[in-house]
Amino acid sequence: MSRALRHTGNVLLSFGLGLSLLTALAGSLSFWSSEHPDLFPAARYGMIPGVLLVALGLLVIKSSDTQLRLSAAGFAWTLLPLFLIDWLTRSYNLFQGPFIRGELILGLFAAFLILNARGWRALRIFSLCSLALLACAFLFESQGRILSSDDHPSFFYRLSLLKSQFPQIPFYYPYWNAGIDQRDFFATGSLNIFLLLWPIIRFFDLAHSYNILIAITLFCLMPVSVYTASRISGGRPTAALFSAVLAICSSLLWYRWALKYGTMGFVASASLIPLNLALLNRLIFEPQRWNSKFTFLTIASLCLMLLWGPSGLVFIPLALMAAPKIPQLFKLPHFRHVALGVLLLSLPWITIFYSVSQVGKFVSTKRPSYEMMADEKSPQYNQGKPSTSSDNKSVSPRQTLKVLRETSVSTNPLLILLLVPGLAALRRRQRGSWVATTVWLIVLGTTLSQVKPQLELDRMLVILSICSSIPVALALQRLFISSVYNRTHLFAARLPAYFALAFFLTGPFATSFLLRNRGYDTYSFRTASSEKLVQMIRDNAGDGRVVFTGFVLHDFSHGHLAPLPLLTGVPSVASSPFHDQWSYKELFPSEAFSQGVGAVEKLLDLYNSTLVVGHEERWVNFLRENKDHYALVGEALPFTVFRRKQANPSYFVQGQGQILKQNDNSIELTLSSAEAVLKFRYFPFLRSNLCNVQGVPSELGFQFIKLSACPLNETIKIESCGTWCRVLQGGS
Amino acid sequence: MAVPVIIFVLCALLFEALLALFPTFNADNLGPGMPGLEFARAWRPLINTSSNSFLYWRPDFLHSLIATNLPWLGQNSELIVASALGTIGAALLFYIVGDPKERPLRAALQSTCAALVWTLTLRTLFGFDHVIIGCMTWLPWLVLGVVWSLRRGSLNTSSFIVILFLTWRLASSANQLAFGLAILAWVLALACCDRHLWPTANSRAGILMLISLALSLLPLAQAPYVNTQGFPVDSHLVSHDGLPAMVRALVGESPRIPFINRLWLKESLKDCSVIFFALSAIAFYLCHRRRAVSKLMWYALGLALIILFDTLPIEHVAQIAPLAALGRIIPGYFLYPCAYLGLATLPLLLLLASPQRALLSTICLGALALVPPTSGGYMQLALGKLVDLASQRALAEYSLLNASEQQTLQPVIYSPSYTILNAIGLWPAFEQDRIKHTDFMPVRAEEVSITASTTDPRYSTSAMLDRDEATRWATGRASQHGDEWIYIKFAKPIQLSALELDVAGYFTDFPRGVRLSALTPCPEANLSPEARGNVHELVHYWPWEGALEISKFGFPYFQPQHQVRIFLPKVETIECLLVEQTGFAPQHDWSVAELRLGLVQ
Repeated sequence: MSRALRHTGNVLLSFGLGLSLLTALAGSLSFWSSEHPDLFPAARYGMIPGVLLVALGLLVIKSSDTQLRLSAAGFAWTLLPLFLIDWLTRSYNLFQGPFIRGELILGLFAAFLILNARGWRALRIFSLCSLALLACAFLFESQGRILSSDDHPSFFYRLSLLKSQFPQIPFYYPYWNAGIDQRDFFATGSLNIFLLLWPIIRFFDLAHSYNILIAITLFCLMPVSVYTASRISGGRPTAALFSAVLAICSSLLWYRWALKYGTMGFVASASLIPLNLALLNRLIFEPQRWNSKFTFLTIASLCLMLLWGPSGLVFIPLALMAAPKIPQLFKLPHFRHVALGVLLLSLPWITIFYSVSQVGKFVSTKRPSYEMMADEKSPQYNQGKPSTSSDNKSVSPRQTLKVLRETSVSTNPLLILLLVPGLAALRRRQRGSWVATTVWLIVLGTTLSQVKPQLELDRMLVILSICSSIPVALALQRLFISSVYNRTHLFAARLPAYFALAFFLTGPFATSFLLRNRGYDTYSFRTASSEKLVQMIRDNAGDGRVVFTGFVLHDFSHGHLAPLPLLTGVPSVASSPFHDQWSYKELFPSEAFSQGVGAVEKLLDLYNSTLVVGHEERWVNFLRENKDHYALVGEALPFTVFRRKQANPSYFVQGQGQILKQNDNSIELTLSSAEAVLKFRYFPFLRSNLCNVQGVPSELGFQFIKLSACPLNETIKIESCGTWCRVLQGGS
Repeated sequence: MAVPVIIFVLCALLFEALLALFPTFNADNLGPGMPGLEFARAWRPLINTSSNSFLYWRPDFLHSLIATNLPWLGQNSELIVASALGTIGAALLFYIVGDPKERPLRAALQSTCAALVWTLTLRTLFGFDHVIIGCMTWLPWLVLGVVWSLRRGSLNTSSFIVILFLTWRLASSANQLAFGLAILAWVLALACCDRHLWPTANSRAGILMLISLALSLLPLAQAPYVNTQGFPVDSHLVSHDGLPAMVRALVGESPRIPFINRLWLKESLKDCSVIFFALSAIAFYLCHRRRAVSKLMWYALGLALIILFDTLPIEHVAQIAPLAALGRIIPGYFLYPCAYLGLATLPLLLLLASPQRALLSTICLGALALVPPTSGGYMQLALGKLVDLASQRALAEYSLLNASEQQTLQPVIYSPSYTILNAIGLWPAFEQDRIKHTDFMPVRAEEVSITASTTDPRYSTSAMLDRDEATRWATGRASQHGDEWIYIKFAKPIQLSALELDVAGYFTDFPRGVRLSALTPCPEANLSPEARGNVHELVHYWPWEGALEISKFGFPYFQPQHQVRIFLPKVETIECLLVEQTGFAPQHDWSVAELRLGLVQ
């Protein structure tokens, strides 16, 4: 029997499986565009052709007495129906149609030319140019403006503080909300980028280098990590380059989390996960192929990755599979070195993290998902009540399928359709762990994410798409090589390779479209209006604080207010400068507003406010109407700034003295009375070099600092006790 | 070699001098330099009349330098110089590629003829077009340079210098379009050489190619952006192309709203593209018969085909065709219609590909006679008439203004809003304040009497005055034929700036064309065309593109079409007004939910 016929069965089987997968993920589907009538109103009907093809394939295999194998070509044939149905026209698509089909057709021509000419060098050059293209696209879009979308200002703020304070973290930060416990470096994973890119952060102004840090993380760290992982997993240089390109063109959601939400701790850790998966696979399942230079790399990579805590969840299947082998592995010196190194480097900060950040409380709390929070148009915000999704602890199959389908549309089709043959292409010893990890990530991302939405486990699907680039690249390489050296010379046999290469070639352009902010998901940069706000505050605040009325979320160039004190040098007060409020909550109690200007003035006095900023209509009208108390300074939309006419700025509730300086981690003052109550927030970990420090209740809902037994006219410093002091105190 | 070169140069100069004597050649309009930094001043706004588009363009300093010394060439001296250089380059290229070892003189004459035909084709189609001439001047030279270098066998320093110099020249004259042309040049050059001469990534030629392409990218970093930030996202400058969403570039700049009129473009180019496709097919067939189909001939046929796919099908299909896709992924090519460059390159490619250049040249000359200009007329050589000068209404009106008015209007006319001013005249630029500050007031029933062309009992004309957007007047025919009207007689004359025919929730029932006319004398009710008396047309919007508005930076734009606010060119004293629907819509009625008068504050 001819070779072609022997392979037909496997191709049919694989095509059937691919088609079934596509129709399951597509749900109802129509030809070309969703404006046309449905071809199949539901997935169960759409899967019928796929199932029939699988059956036919099995029949052919049995009759031709061929070994059952998954064929990458068969799965790649599924790209043709994907092109023809309305998949590419669905919203929030990485390959956002309908016109992306033009680029895919162009890619098909290019694929024909490249594969016929065996242009492997051209593909390698294309891959390298793609990285440069995307980095340039992002930097061109920024035009020198700093990223300011959602959490990016907060991340910038954390990096700035780490620059000045590391390793003395956590610490007391007096510039926000009359003093806060600045400890979220651990929970947010900002330490990984700080440590990775420390030279740039240390020697360059962060305001000018922030975008460069982001670009390095996205277009350098991630592709290098995936490239190295692919090489370690047995891929040749070409396949490794393919995987790097696939990783940076993996998913729209990747750039949503990176650029729109600004969760850079997650991004940096996710970039390192493929590398760690590859390294640990080799360490555990192929120790005979271990290279000593991998030891340091593994220790460094693992430690940096674990700085974003949830990344450890990815390795649970690997850990379970490795568990029976632990006694044997401990006999190997490099295993011991890696384990010891990771423990020694990670244990200290993990200890601090668990004691200081109250992780257990966070995990058990009822809070909605990040994405719900990021959508400030959510009715939950307008109605002032927390999301109901946090109350739902049951897993809904419908919701699971919905998440899977929505994520699939935003993911590179190659990573979905070629994942199965890609996993089959891995070395046998690694295959099991990769398959287990893939299944586990799907479970985490679709099912467990419903149980604990605050953990945002749907990000695991984004991690899966990045990790998939390694096996998929292997499948692609095999597909291209087999098409080129195909002895049958059948054009039809080469078509799936052309389709796959067309999608591969189009991926960077489709991603460039996203990076140029032309898709449905957009991200923001700091606007001139925000710069104007900074200047107004700087020029008019005087000796007091600036207070933001109402509830501020993403009003600072579509991001949080967090870096404002760093930019203005003025202590600030707002309801939610970071992403820590889960529902609408005003700074002042609602009764203060209804009680009139007297009640508001009293609260402003307690905050030592000299400037008041409104952005909600009722507060702006209130401030405008009470002209005797507030003078309009100016507008920096959406904010309107007022100066308090009757302010008598003083940080002292009781006693006399002078605030000499507010540093990033301390307050320096002198007293002319032995006791004083300061308009700063009290924490039990606060210490003073010369006084006793206590807390006294205030009308603001927190305790003020009370100093007693103080010497007169000497410089008193109030700051947090050291890191280990706090750990020993149980994190308080 | 000296003799052919002399022939080329002399013929090119003579030909260009002849062309210079024809002042009727269309020329697009290059505005004054931009304020600001020194390098920015070299970039000037360009109203490219061939393509009816707007972009920033930087004249080549070398062409300007040469032209300064040849003032007798007239007002288009720079372009003539550039064109001559391109002709010489093309002639040399044809000569070298033709391998003239036997009969060099004959080869020289054939090459000269072919080059002149190419130049004549470009002039006929595009006239003195800054973009086309800028792009085509150094393209043949770069192809020539690469072919010459590769055929020498090894690349030495002189080859590097020559190719990089030619790339720099291409970048200087083709500006932001240089990258795509550089790629094209290398592709053509490689097609002219044997495969074993092709560069690989590690070879010196490969490195040279990469450096050359990188050099051609530099103008992109310098070219100013076409600023469309002041326009709202739902506004438009050109007719709606029927697509469900705005097409955006994947790489490089992409304007906030489209300002290239794709429908106009396709209408202008479709005949040309069919003729050139036919020409390419004939040339291909002739070569096939002689068993001499080269790579270049395949490329020529392919190029003709993709130009055809860009201009003939409906826009939904054209946008997924290769040319549109290339425009989206090659930086700089989204802001200029690729089909124009394709049409300019195709004759060059055909002549390069054909071993029988003389025969093909003759065919080309004949084909040119068939190229129909937009002003109509076959069997004539329409010199530089892809765009009829007379259709450049805005430029014509602008030329009649005094210096101070021109100075005031300059930023507005040299902007993407040019297409609007060209369509309806310059008056929106002068009437900005009035357009921004016109108040639209409802009308009281006792102040007007309204009659209409149809008297469907379901839709009374009083619905236009009842201040209830849920009720409307409509023709009741569920279609628009161009013969519908509303006649409004005012109780006393009013000073009218604009008229609003609010469609409210009936978004698709806007008029497809609308004309406002004043009648003298005013009949009590408009009964028939004969009863209308003296009709004085005040304004005619055809097609209706939407309400005129002025951006915060002072540039006119159209709002969505269902916003039916009809501005008059100037405030008129009106006693009676005839509103005619002049468009055609087979599936949509014409409705008016509320009538409002636009009065100046």
